[in-house]
Amino acid sequence: MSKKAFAIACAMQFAASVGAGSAFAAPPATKDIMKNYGDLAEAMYSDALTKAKDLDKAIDAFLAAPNTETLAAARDAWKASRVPYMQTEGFRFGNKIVDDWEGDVNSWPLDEGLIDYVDKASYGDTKEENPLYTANIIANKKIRLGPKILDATKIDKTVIGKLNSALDVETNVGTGYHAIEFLLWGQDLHGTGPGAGERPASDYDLKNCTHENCDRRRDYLKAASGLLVDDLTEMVGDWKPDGAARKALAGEDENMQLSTILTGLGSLSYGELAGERMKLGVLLHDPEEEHDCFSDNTHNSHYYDQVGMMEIWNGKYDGVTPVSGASIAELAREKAPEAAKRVDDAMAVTLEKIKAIKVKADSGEMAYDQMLAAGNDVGNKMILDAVDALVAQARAIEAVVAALNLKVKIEGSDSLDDPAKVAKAK
Amino acid sequence: MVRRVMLLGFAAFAFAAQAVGADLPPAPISHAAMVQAAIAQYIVPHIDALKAAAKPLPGAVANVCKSGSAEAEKALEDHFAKVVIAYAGVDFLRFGPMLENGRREQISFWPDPRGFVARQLRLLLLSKDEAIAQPGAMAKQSAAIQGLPALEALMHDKDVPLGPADAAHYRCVVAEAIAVNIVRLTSEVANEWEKPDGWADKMLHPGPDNDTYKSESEAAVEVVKALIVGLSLTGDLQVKPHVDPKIRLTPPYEKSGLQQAFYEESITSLHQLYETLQLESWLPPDRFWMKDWVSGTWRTLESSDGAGGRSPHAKREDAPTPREVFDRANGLRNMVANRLSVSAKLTVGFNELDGD
Repeated sequence: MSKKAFAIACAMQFAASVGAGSAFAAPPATKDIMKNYGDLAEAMYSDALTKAKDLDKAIDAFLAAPNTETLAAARDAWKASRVPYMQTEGFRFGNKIVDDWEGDVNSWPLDEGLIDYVDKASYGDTKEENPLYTANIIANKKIRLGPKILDATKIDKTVIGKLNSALDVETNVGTGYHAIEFLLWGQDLHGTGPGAGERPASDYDLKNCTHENCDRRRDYLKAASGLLVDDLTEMVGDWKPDGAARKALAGEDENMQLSTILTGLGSLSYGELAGERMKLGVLLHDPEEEHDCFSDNTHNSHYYDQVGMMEIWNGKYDGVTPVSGASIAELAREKAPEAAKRVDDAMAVTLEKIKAIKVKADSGEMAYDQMLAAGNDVGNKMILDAVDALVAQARAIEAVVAALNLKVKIEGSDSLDDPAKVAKAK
Repeated sequence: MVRRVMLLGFAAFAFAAQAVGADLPPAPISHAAMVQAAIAQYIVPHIDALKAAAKPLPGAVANVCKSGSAEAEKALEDHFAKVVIAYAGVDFLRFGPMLENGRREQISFWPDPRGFVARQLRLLLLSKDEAIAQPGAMAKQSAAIQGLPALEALMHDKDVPLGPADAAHYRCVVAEAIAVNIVRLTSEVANEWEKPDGWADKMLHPGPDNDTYKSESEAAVEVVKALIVGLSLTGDLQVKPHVDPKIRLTPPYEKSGLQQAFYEESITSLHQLYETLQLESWLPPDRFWMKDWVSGTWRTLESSDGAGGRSPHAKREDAPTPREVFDRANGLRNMVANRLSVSAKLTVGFNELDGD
C-alpha cells in the first residue's frame, strides 16, 4: 500500500469511528450507576421529608386554630407532600429495606372505620374479613386485638403504630399518608360523583367539637404527621453514603445491583400501578379503590409515580438538590440500543396517557373516581389506556433485563440453591 | 448391484446413527417450537374446552328458575362444576385475550379478600333494576358480579334459592344475565385467540413490527411466565392458607364444594403445560438431577387434594402435608424461574402478581 493510500485508509477509518459516535463510548461503570442511584434516592427521599415537615407544621397551625382556611392549608400541604414521595416509589420492590419500611408510610387501601367515625349507611357495620372494621380508636380507649387489649387511653405514635396490619389484616392501617388523608378529608361520600371528603374543621375544634372526641382526633392527627416525619427521616438516613440501603446494595454482585433498579421499575409498572391501583379499580367501578380516595388526588399520585420511574431510569432528578449522573438507561443505550429505545418510547407513551388523566382531573371536568364509574366509557378508557401503556412499559423493561443479561430475582425457597439440600422425592 | 450396496450401506448408516441417537438427549426445543406447542397442544384446547363448558349454562339457569326442581338444580350444579374445572385450566393464562378488558377477572373474580362479590351483588339485588337483563348491560357492571363467583353465590343462597317463587324473580334475572355474560366472555376469549391475526398469530409471528413480541424468545417467555404464575397462584392462594392459619382466604368455589377439584385441575393442567414446554430439553447433563426432583415434585403435588388430604388419583400412598405441598409448589416455581428458564436462555421478567 502506498503512503497516500494508507493515509486515505486511515482517514476513512477515523471518519468511520467518529461517525459511529457512541459506538465507541464506554458504557458507564456499575459502581457509577449505583452511586448515582443512591444519590437519587437520598435526594428524592430528602425532598419527601422536607414536604412532610411542611405538612407537620401546617397541621400544627391547623390544630392551633381549626378553621376552614387552616384546614385547607393543611390539605394543600398534604397534596404537596405527595409529589416528591410518589416519585420515590420506584425504589420499592427491588430494595428490601424500602419494602420493609413502606407499609408504615403508604399502606393502602385501608378500612378507615378502624381510625374514626364513618358513614354506616355506605360503609357498613361489619366486614367478615376484618374484626376491626369499625373499631374507631378515636372513640374507644381500649380495643381488643385478638387475645390482647390495646390501651389507647392516650393516643400517641406507639399506639397508632400498633394498628398497622393488626390481626394480620392488611387493610388495618393506622399510620402514613392515607391515615392522615382520612383525618384531613374524611370519607368521600360522593361515590363516583363529583366531590371529595368534606370533614369539617370543627372535628378538631375543642370549643365547638363536631362528631365528638376532638381531643383524641387531634392527638391522632399530630401523632400520625410526626410519625411520617420520623419514618422519612429514617429512610433518608438509609440512603446516606454510609446508610444501610446503600450498604445492602453494595453487598450484592454487580448484576444483582443493576437488576435491583429494573426490578423496582418493572414491578411498580405492572403488578402494582397497572394492576392493584388502576385496573382493579376500573374493573370494580368502585371509588374506594382509587389510591387517594379521600382527597381525590389519585391522578397526581399516579402521574408522579411515572415521573419518578423515568427519573430513576434516566438517573436525573430536578429536585431541591438536582442529581444527574450515570444511569441504567445510559448503560442500556450503549449495550442494547434497541431495547433502551423501546423503554424510552414506552415511558413516553405512559407519561402521555397518565398526563391525560391528570389534565382532565386538574381541569375539574372529571375526577379520577368519576373516570372509573360504571358506564363512563370515556373515563374507563382513559384509565385502561394507561394500564395498557404501563404493561407495555414493563415488557420493555423486561427486554432490557434480557439484553443486559440480568435477571429479575424471584423470591422463594432457598433449598434449591444447593442440590444436596433438595428434599428427596418420595 | 452398486445401487443396492449403496442403499444397504445408507440404511445401515442410518440405523447406526439412529441407534446412537437413541442414547443422546433430545435436541433442545426451539423457542418458536415451544410457543407453537403451547398454543396448539395446551392453550387453544383448554380455551375451547372452557367455551364449550360454558355454553349450556344459561339454559341450565333458566331451567332452575322455571321449575325449581331438584333435577334442574343438580343439572345446573353439574354444568357449573364443569365450567369451574375448565376455568382452572386457564386461570394462569393471564396475558393476551384474558388480560384484555379484564376478561379474566370478569369470568372469575377470585381471590376476593375484601369481599367485593358479596357487597356488590347485595347492592345490585337491592336495586332490582330489570335493565340488567338487557343485552350488554351485565358487561358494564363491576367485574366482581359478572362471572362465576357471583353466580355461585346466587345458586347457594339458602334464604332465597333460585326458582319460580316471586321472591327469587330478580335473582333469576341476574343469574341468567350472568350466565349469558359468561358465555359471551368465554367465546370472546376463544375468538381473540384463534381468529386470523388473533393472539395466537401474534405469538407465532414475533418481530420488530409486532407490537407485543419482538422476538421468539419474548413469546416463549410469556408461556413460561404463565407456568410460573400458575404455580404461584396454586401455592400461595390455594395451599398456603392451609399452612398459615393467619391467612384468611376463602378457597375457590368453596360454596359449591369444588375447591379440591379446582386444585387438582390446576395441578394437572400445570403439569400438562410443563410437559408441553419441554424446558428440560435444554438441561446440560450435569443438571439432569433436576428432572428427578421435578418428577418427584409433580408426584407430590398430584397426590394431594390441596388441603391436607389425599387425591383420589394419588400416586403416593400417603397424603402429603399442606406444608410439603406448599414447599414443593414454591420450589418448582423457583426451579422453573431461576434454573430451567435460564438453561433455556429465557429471561423471565414481570407479571401481574408483582407488587403488594
